[in-house]
Amino acid sequence: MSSSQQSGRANELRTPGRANSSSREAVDSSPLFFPASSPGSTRLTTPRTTARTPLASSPLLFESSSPGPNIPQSSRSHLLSQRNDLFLDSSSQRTPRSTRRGDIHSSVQMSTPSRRREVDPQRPGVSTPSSLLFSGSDALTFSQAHPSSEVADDTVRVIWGTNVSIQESIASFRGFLRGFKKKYRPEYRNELMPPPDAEQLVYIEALRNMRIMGLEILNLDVQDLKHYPPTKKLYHQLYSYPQEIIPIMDQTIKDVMLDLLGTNPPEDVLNDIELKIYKIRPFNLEKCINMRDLNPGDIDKLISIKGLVLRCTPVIPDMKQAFFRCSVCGHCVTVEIDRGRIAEPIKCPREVCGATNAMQLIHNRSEFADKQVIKLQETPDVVPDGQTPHSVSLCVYDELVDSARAGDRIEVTGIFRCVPVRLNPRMRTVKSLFKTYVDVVHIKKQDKRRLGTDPSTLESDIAEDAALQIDEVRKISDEEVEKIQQVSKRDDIYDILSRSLAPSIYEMDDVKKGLLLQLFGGTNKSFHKGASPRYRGDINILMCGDPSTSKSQILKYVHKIAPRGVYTSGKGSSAVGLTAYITRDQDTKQLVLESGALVLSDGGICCIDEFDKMSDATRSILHEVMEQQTVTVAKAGIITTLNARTSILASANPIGSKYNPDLPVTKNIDLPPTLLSRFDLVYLILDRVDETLDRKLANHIVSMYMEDTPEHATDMEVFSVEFLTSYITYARNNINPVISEEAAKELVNAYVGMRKLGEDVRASEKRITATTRQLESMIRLSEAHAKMHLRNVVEVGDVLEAARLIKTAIKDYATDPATGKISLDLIYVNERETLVPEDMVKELANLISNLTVGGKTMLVSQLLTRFREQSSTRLDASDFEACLGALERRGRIKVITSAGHRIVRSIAQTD
Amino acid sequence: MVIALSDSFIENPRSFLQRFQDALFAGSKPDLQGTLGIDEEVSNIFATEERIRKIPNYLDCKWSELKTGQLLRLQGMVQDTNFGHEFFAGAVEVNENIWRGCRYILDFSEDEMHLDESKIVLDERYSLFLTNVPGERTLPVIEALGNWGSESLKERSLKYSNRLQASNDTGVCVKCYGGMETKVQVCQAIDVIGIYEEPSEYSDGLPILHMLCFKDYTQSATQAPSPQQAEIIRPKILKYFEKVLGENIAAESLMLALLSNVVHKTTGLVIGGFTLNLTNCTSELVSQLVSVLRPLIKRMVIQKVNVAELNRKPLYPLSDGETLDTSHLQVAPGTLIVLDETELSSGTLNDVGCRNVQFLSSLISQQDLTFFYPFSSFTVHSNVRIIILSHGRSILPADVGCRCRGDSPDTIEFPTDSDELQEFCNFFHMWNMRANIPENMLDYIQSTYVSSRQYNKEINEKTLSLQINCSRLYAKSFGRQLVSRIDFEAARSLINHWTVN
Repeated sequence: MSSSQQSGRANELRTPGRANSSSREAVDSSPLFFPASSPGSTRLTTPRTTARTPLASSPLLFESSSPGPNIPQSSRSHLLSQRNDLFLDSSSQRTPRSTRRGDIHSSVQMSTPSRRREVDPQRPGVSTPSSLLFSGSDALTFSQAHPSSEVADDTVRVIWGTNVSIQESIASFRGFLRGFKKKYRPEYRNELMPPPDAEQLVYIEALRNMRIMGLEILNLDVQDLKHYPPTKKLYHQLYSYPQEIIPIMDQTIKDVMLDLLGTNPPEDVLNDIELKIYKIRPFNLEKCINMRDLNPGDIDKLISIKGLVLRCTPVIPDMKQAFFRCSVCGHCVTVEIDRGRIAEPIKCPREVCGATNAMQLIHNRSEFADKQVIKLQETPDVVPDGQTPHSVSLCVYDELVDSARAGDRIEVTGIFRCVPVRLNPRMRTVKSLFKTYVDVVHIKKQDKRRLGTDPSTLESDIAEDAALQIDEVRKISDEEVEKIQQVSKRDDIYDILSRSLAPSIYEMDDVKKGLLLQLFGGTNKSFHKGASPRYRGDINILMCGDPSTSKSQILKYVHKIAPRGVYTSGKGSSAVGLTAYITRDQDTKQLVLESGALVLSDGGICCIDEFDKMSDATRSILHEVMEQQTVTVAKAGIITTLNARTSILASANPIGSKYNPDLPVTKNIDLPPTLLSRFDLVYLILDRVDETLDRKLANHIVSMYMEDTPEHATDMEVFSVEFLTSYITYARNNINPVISEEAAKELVNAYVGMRKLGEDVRASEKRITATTRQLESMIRLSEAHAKMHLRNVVEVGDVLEAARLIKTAIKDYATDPATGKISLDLIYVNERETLVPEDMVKELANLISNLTVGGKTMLVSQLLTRFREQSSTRLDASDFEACLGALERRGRIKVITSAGHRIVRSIAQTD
Repeated sequence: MVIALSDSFIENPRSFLQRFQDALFAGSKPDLQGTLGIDEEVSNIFATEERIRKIPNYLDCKWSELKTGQLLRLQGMVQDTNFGHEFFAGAVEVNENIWRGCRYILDFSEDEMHLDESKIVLDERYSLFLTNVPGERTLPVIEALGNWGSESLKERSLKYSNRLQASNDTGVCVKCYGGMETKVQVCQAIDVIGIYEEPSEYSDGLPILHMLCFKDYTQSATQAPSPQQAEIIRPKILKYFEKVLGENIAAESLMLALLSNVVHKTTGLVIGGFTLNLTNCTSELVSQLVSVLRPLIKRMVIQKVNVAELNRKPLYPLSDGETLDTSHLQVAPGTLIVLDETELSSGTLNDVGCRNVQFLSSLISQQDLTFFYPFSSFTVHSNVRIIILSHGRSILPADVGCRCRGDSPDTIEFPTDSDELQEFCNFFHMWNMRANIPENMLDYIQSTYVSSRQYNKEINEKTLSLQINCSRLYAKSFGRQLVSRIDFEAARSLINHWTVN
């Protein structure tokens, strides 16, 4: 349900104090003052304006439609001859209550219910011409996509200045309301729906509900109009002439409502319907225009724009009908507003009196409606680089008032208007200048989420969203989905996705893989049985390492692409800055709660740089955030708990800034175990001296300076940031993997294996031991891994990868179990091994076996010399060491150190 | 002949523009998309510097002497690209199928507007707010507002004082046609040729310039010295710097910082920027250094960084949703920002102070100018040179720290010879020149890095980036466009004297 259906305010507001707006300068340039109640007494007296009758319906020149007494009779009759069938001029016949809506300042006024039967070309039951009824067969045909404009009536009545045939529009909309079924919606085209759902008459159902619930608003999805062939034309007419079509639709709703009552309806129900003002609120236009693309061609058209509400004015009483009394004879006249103007009678219409300039406005007998002006600004994602955001003014009326608040992201459907600007407010001359604004007909609150937020994270919001017809900020097109599906089947998808993450950062593949899984996230679960109501799917990562290892760059990159990414530095953060703080609102002078970084990143990723520089007190609040995912605030009398369902990506330097290999891991990362265990992955990023890697790194950096195009610094295939984010968004929104039996077993095995490592009493305090949190981490990571492959089942492979990531992150394979120290050589060998070709290892094995025949031993340095001699290309010492390491691990050789020399000895192979 | 055209255009721009549009719309309802080729036409007419100089420049005339409809040239910084949007009658049908263009025709009679709607083609224009370039010469004050109208006009224009950095600064509303505003960026310094319109109530007392064409307003590379000249000027400048800073290394470092510019920027990575933190500075030294730099650098802004100053007011541009307040550090590309941290002492930062520190950090490390709007903030890429002068190590994330001697002499004799001063100025025009790394340097840099890592583990990726960047700046200081081994080695040896942050 859209916000427009929120409980309505009173349609009328009588505020005598406000009514003196008639004395305000009528055509102020600011839309805030539009529509001024009265154009002033001289409006119709200038010879120029009286001669402008042909422009009466011009949207740019707001002449009054209520014919002033001095409009030449001929032109009046000319207008009436075209209008009086439908748009009855007689003010004496009007119902006392205004029958028009605030947002449509149209001279087109639909008939009152009492006149309806004369207007309506079709009676209930025989209503719609056959050409406009769509035979809603299952096999949808579009043969009637262009319905004939001919209707049963001989004369075709069109709205003045347009080609809109009133009868045809009424009939076609009536046919739509009565005949549109759910199955016609494009999203259901290719799906087989069970009959009761498929055959559901969507709008008839909606109208019935409206009557039962006493609602007056019908939200019309214009895509339905478009996809129902007989109303395709109406769809285009609605887009081009909303001012004319919307009142027709409003009236048609009432007609259909009455039709639905059947024969002999109870009088009170009939009266109830007759007295109501039904309003259609069209939404979901084909495309949303960027507000800086609005141009003169859009004037008076139905448009849709998105933006951020900056501020809303208080409710402005907007005069709808002015009440004048002659100060001489007391004769009363009411004048209706037309497009923001009220034609003030300059002469008492009573023939006996006829006093000039004697008519006085009686405020408390005039009618007012609610109006509000909203300032809407472009959202940051659509502002072009180097430009400041644009903004437009929106005028909202009646029940839409107060439906949007400052800070909301909304999508607005409305009519783009422009008003002439006076160069000099004291002069009535209007010089070819127009300011613009939008008369809103529908407001849709947009998702507060940014790109790719996991919907399951914001569960409660989603329930609200469903009611508010909220859609994603970023929609993924069908083509994109197809491409994503296709790409996900690639064998190297994991590598290519991780490579696409921060391509300007060299290597660090495993770190990138971890970050990638963090972006995908695990599955949020709710346990109905256990004590814990919710099980987080967010993955927390800590990168701890030597300075200048691109940690900050990685953080900034993730911050840019992550949903609701917030970047903060531990050095400048206070606990308050991270959680929430109390400030005084500048406008209202009230105390307000402002969200800190963690609350702002609810449903996203909070990147905290320099985590080690954070004070202990600040860091301690993360305990609550990282497991309970809430923040408790108790300040200035405000005690509340805020959601902070966020993934944390933190970076820190080891104690003493640089990793000390002489100390165990736990002593290098000086974080309390309670906090450390809350991180799913703790990456140790160590700066090692390695000739080949250094050379490659130098090459990478120099090439960035040479080309000045770091995006292309890698030759390998990478995805664009846009595609990467679409992929992640798609996976997060659509894939919820479940753990398979085998995977569950593997999880148990892997966990037991990790626990065993901690059993060694010598190492219990020197290494990071596994707790149940690590098991949960493994589950989350395996889910994320499956999600990345767009698989709905977690397989053994996912678990293995998760376990591998946890181990490699902390350099488990290189940790000495006794001392807890990391052997840099082991890291080096392990990582190099993956880089050297297998051929080279085999060659070295052959060479060693040849040189150590008969149990001989050989110096490593000699072996390197010999190996280089037989190598056709330049051989790095590091590659050689890696090959040596590989052979040693395979049990083919043994390297022993004796008297400062490293000696290689071949181990006899049994086979 | 063409010169005559430029003269006649200056003499009567209205007639030229009217004829141009009339010819364009002959016989058909005009399509007012785009610039209609007017910008190209005007640029062609004023293709040479000599012809451009004939256009009255705001610097040389008094505002009161300017008349609506005349051609005017104006240089300034775009303070805001969103200063309004309006529709106007772009063309009217005066007779059967005879259309008259109204773009730039400011004195178009309103009687002619009294036409059928179908005889008007609406056009649109966006407005920019232009101020004087911060740190440069100021625009002449509108001293004679009284001549144009009432005091109320002056009062009206005061409501835009929040967009100006100083009370005697001037703001001009620049109206852009045909999508020209999309080519202009906020904070960009531009040189505009346009039609002038006097302040009126309609313009809230602001002078208006209807933009015909514009170009980026930075120092021209043609003024930069040749490598031979640079080699002669370089030691002279260093000598002056050394006198102030007391150290050769500090002087050389300062020179490199003054020649730095951002050549590329991507997510989390800025290539080319170089922020220097000169430590052991005193307040006296700061004032002396400023007095030395002032005549050399065209755009220079000095900002004190101490608790009181940080807490006082935002250094970042801030909008309340209605209007965009400028700030002291909303500056144009190429500006030298001197951050004076010598008076910093302990204290508590308030909300504004914290945001200011965050803003400065982002400006230094990412070269991003952050604009704060309600519920959102935007960053604009910048390209500024920053020097931080402090006692000890700065609280801000400078690239390197370099110590100066601190006991500077009482007086500095700066060149009084205007030619020499001009040479010095021209030397620093090289800041936006590019110095590239040739292919043959690739191997050399790689090998040097690999071998230096073998014996010094402190050398890392950051050091290498710094070496490469400084070698480019070093080459630039000699007016060279290619980096040589000598430059690279010189940069390496300089880095040994710095504290890399």
